[in-house]
Amino acid sequence: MKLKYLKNVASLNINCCKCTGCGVCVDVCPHEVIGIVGKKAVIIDLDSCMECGACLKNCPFEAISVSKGVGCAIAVLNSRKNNGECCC
Amino acid sequence: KSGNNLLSKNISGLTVYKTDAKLTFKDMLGLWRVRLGIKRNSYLVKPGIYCTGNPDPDSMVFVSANYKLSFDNLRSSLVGINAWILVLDTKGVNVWCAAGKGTFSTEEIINKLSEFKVGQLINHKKLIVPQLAATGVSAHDVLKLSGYRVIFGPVRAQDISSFLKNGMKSTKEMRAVNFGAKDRAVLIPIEFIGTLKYILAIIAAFIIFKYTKMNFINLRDTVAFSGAFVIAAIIVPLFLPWIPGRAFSLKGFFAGIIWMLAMTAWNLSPGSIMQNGIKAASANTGGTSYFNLQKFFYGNWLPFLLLTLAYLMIIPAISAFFALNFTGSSTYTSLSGVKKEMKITLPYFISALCVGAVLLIIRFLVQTFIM
Repeated sequence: MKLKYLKNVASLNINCCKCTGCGVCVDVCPHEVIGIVGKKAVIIDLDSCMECGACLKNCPFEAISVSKGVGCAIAVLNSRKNNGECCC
Repeated sequence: KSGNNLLSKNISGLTVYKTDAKLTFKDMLGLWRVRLGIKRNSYLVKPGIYCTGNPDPDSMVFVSANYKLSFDNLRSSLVGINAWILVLDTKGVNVWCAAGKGTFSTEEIINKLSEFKVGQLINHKKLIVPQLAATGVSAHDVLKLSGYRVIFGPVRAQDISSFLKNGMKSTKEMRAVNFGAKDRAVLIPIEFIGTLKYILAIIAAFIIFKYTKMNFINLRDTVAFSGAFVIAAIIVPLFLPWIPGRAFSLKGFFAGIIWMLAMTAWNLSPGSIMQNGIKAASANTGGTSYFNLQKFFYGNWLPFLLLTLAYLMIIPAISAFFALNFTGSSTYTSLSGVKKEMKITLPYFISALCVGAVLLIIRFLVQTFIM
């Protein structure tokens, strides 16, 4: 049973012009968010994206954009307070 | 203190630490200790080159974080395999978190490759890196800057032997991070321990009130409010897929409402304030004069109503806010989503607690001065 988080909030985007369909993003994604359709990487499950940034980090063609971050409530509270990081 | 004996041998002038796939009782104790959150920031192994079995220059190199749990997890999956393990300095943090924080990184791999002179031990230029490090490790950058080819191994070390048999390729299942019952269950002890300080504070407050004979909160209220934390830290993680709502705070809210209703039902049972009030009122006069009815009304229903409303304010708010906390340990929540949840949940939590506190104060005043 694939657990899914909030609808339509993930900031993931793929620029299909820059994408060459190499598939590395598919290999590194922990939640099968991206698939290769017609020789290009396409978002197939946006709501499963946790914005870990693995795809962003490993795209050699800079075709992916995402606001990378840790989905952690304490980190969110700490960053509001003192511009700091999470607790661990 | 790392806890594993550092037997080492000298290969080509380099120090290589010997390790094996066996996890000892001490290793298991350590596992349980950190799962309880005890000294988990100092559970590490020394960075360096390790070997399992008798690797030769053609053997594979597995890259690891220096959190001992990660290291033990990796080596116990290398049964019967001769391999090198390159342990990076991730400050004792696990693979995924370290990758996110930038300590399990492209730079760290390149630095340690040269610091430990890995090239002197092997004939090839391949590194097997855990897939969850991909957040911090750019395979194409490692290749460009060091000539080493990063192969992302499976998410779970347990899949390594299947991965190797599959020609060093991950299947769809090996690439997916799950959050099943067992995964959630191991996180519960540390979640619960995190709420203990609040529970103990409530109990302490109750004890102080009892000794000063101020009936601000009684034993059932203490159980009710403490239970809200248990709902958030234990029930929500355990039953996560089945509690309605995708937002964690919403799941906490629903679970909190159920608990609140249960506690309200408990307050309606014999021995509660209301029942005691009825007994007290009828014992006083035995009649139904206006004075008695007034005392009956103010003595019983109003405090009960105020208490129930206070429960309604306080309990779901606690459960919602602290269930949202679980996002930090979960494996599928996005930062964008958590920010959105927090934007709603934090103001709700603060205002609901304030209203609840006011209701408790009014109830206390009604009971003390009117009953």
